[in-house]
Amino acid sequence: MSEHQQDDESRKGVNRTVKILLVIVLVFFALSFVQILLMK
Amino acid sequence: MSYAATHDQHDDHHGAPKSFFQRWCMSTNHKDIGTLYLVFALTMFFIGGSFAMGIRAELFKPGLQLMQPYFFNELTTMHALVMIFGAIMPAFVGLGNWMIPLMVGAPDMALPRMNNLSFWILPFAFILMLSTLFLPGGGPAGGWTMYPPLSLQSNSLAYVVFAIHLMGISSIMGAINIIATILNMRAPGMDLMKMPVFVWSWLITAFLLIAVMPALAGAVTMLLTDKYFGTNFFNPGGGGDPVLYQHIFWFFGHPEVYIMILPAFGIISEIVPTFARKPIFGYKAMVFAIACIAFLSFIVWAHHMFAVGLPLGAEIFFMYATMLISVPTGVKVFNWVATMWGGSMTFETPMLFSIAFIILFTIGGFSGLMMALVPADFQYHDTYFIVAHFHYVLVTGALFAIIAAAYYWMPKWTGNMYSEFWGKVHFWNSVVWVNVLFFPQHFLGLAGMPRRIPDYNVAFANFNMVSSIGGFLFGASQLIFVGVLIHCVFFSKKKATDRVWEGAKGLEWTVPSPAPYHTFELPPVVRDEELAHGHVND
Repeated sequence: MSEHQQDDESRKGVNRTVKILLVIVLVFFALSFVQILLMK
Repeated sequence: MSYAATHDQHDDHHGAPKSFFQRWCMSTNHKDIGTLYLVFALTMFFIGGSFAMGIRAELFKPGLQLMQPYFFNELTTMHALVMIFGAIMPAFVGLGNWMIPLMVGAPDMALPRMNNLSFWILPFAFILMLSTLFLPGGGPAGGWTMYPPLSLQSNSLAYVVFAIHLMGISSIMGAINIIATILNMRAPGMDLMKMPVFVWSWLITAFLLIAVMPALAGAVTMLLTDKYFGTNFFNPGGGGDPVLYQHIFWFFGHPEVYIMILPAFGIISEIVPTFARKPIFGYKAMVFAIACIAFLSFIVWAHHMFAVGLPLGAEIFFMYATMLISVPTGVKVFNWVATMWGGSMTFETPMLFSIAFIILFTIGGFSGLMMALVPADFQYHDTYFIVAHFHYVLVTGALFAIIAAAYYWMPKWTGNMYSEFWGKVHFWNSVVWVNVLFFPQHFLGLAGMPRRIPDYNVAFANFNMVSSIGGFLFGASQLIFVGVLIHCVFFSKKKATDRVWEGAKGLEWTVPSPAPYHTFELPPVVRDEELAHGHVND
């Protein structure tokens, strides 16, 4: 694998990881509000 | 599969920028940003420490001595916020920034520009928060937990909420960066189960941060809308429930406690094998114990709230879940002891702080176990017993680990050896005075002295005076640390070798001391025997 291919693979991996993590952040932010509905 | 780390678009082929502004304000270099985090944390440690000195000075004798009660409440609140969000957490992020890329063989963090932003948000957040002390209405004084309705009376709520949002954004970005780096930028051959325990501890901590910081953001946003936009999330008059805030806050707050201790576990797991000259005992068990603690941290939050009147079933569940945490924690403590067992031990300053950590953190763990018992907690709740417990966990736990890490990696960072003599002077002063400071607080709590009060019954006078003397001397001892740091960075004549410590293993010791501005621009060849755990099958 050339250095540039490694570059691309690594960057794609980073982008995918960041997207997944951002979704987790949003879910937990929403969860703090949803708790209120569950508690009622 | 991990891919080799790569060249980013920034100034890879050059040394550090010459201009001060370029180097420190515009930096995308993980080592420089790590240094910025560490310097920031040290500064905040002394600001938070000065608040603590004010608290201990007021409590030196019964009666109001030096300050009005509201100012005392501001000090307790600010001391906690500054130490937790400004000192302990940024110190661990700084250590992570410095060491994670070096330990996994990556040239930098995965998102270097975001790394810069994560750091530079922090000083502004803390200037904003600390500035509230000078506002006409004063700063926040309802405790760092900001329980409504008390916290809603503060005029500075909006400032503090904004500051907490900024810190949260910074933490989330930092956590995303660390996870992306560890999962994508490891050198070929650095399998997950060959990573140093410190890297594992940070990977798991980063997931905790990502899960709970948004919950804190949600909780404080609801406080804000309750105060300024007419909502009634926590207002019983409008159908809300103030206890609900406590549930959401502690859903954040308990994992937060582990955010402040798991990287410390990682640090101790690096230092003990080095100075025992043995691989860590039970590598896999150590990793799984960290993961197990992290999981359990999500299902124990209500043990902070036993006294609010939870249903009996809930109290029993949270009691047993909390006690369960002592199992993986015990695994870790026993494994550190087993690592030392039969090792060729030497007692340099990092090792001394690590051994003190193991003993004193365990004391904090045991008092934690005591208050996990619901009936007992009704006595301990909101007393100085709690204050003693969490300071054993956070000062002799998290802070001692940070200091141990600073001594351990300082030669790699600076290229110079610190003064072992003054390091030991610092250690012995710290370990003696920290116990004089916090141990009597157990007795005060058991005798019924409540937390967060500027005045107290004369029956508590003696132990408070002892505690205050310990506090002043512990605070003064930390000036020795600053002296050792300054001497090491600027004046030390003794150069560090690449490996620094005889028993040190791992990729970070294969680069020169001081670590060059850019490391691992080409992925290193990872040889198992070079790794601390690479050749261990347990």
